[in-house]
Amino acid sequence: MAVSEEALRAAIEGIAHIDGVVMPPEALVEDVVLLAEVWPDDNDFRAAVASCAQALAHIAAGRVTASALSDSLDGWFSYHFQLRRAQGEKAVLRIVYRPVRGGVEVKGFGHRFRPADFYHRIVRGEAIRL
Amino acid sequence: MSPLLQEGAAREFQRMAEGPRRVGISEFARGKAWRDTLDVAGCVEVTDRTGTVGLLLTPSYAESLSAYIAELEKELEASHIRALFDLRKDYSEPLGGEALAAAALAELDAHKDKIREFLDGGK
Repeated sequence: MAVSEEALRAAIEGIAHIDGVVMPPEALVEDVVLLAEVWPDDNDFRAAVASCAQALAHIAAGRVTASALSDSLDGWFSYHFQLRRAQGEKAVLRIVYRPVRGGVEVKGFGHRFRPADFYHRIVRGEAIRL
Repeated sequence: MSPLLQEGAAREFQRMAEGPRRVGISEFARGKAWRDTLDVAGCVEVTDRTGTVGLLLTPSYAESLSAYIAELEKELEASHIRALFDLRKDYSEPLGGEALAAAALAELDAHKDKIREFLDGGK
C-alpha cells in the first residue's frame, strides 16, 4: 500500500522546519515522494523520514563528517547514513549539501541508488530517464 | 585485489550459475580434494543427491565480490549525484522554515494527482 497523503504532508512539514536547513521547495517535495516510492509501507517511510530528519539536523549543526565531492561539485558534500541505527546495517541513505551561513543548503536527500528510475522530474512535470 | 581482478572474480561468479564447479557433500568426509577445487575456482557449488545445497566461497573470493559490488555502487551513486545537479539546476531559490514548508506543500497540492499516480501506479 502506498504512503498516505497525510504522511507525505507530515514529512514535508517536519523536514522544512529543521533549524539551519534550506533547500528548494520542489526538491523537498520530490525527495519526500521518492522516499515514499522506495519505502511504500507507511512505517518504513516514517523511519526513513525520521532518519533523514535526524541526519539533516546533525549536518546543519556541523556534527558529522562527510565526503567532499570533487571536480565541478567542489564545495559540496555527501553524507551517508543508515535507515535504522544498527550495527552492521548498510548506510543506504544520502544527503548532498553545502555549508552556508547559519546552516546548510541541501541539494537532495534519499536512497543512494533507488529508485533506479529516479531521474523523473516529478514536480516540474517532465519525465526524464537517462 | 585490484579492480580488474575483482571484476574477473565477479564474472566467474556469474558464470557459475551456468556451469558451476560441483563438489558432492560426501567428498568433505572423504578427504581434502575439495580444497584444491575450491582454491582453484574460488567458489564451488555443493551438491547432494537432491541437488544443490549451497555455494562455498573462499574468504578472498567473498571479499573480492563485496569490493566489486561496493565499487559498482560508488559509480552508480556518482552518476545519481551528477544527474541530481543537472536536473535541479533551475529549481527555485532555497528556502527554510515556514517559507519552505508553505512553498513545498503548495507544490505538493499543485501536483497531487501526478504524485498520487506515480506512487499508486507502480511507475
